[in-house]
Amino acid sequence: MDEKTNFEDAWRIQMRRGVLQYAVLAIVHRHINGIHGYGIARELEERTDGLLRVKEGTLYPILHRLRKERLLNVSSEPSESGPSRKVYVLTGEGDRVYRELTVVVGDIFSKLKELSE
Amino acid sequence: MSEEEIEKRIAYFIRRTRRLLPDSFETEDLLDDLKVHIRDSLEDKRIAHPDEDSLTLLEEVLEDIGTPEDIADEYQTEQVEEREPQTGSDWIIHYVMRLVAAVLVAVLSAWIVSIVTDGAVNFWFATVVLVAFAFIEWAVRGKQTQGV
Repeated sequence: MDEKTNFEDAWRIQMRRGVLQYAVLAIVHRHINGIHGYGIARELEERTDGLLRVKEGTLYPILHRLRKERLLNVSSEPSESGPSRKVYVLTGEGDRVYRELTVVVGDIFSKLKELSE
Repeated sequence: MSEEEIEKRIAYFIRRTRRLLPDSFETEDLLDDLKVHIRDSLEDKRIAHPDEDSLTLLEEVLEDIGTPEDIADEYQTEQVEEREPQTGSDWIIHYVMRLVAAVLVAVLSAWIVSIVTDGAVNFWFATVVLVAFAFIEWAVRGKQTQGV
C-alpha cells in the first residue's frame, strides 16, 4: 500500500512540475497589464482548486527561469507594504510559446481521454 | 509583536535562504522578490484577520512560502534544467578567468593602498594579504553553496 502511495505521490509531483511552468505562463497571459508574483501564487491556488498549489517561495526560481528564457518581461511598481515589486508580462516569444504549448497540452489531454474511454 | 520583531524574523528567513543559494545578483533579485512576497502576504492576512497576532500570521506566511531548503531545491532544479552541458575546457576557462580577475583586483587594490599610504604599506605585502583573503572568501563561499 505504501509503495502504491509513494508511486502515486511521485507521479503527481512529476506531473505537477511539468505543467507548472505552463500554468504560470497561462496565468500571466490572462493579465495583459501584468501580474506580480504574489498574484500568480494566489491564482495558481484558486484557479486550480489547490491542485497546482505550490510552496509560494518555490515559484520565484520558476519565474526567474522564464525570464532568462525571455518568455517573461518584468517591470517595477511601488508596493504599499515596502520595496517595489515586480510585475510580470508575457514577451512576444512568451506569447508564441504559450500558444504552441496550449495546442500540445490540448492534444495530449484529448488523446489521454480517448485512451481511458 | 512589534514591527521591529517582524522585520527581524523576516531578515532571519532571508539570511537562511541566502546561505543556501549561490552568491550572485540573481540570488539577491530572488531574495528581494521573496521579501516583497512575504510583506504582501502578511498585509493580506492582517486585513483578513485583524485580531490575530502578527507573529502567528507571519509564521503562516512563512509556512506558505516554504522552507529555505524548498526554495533552494527548486532553484537548483531550474538551474540544472537551464544549464547547458559544459565541457572540461569550459570549466578550465571559467576558473582561469575568475583567478585572473581576483589577482588583478588584489594587485590593483594593493597598488592603491601603497600609493595612498605613501609606501607605509608595502605593495607586495598588501598583494599577498589580499590574494589570501580572496582565496579564503572563495573557499568559504564554495563550502556554503556546496550542492546548490
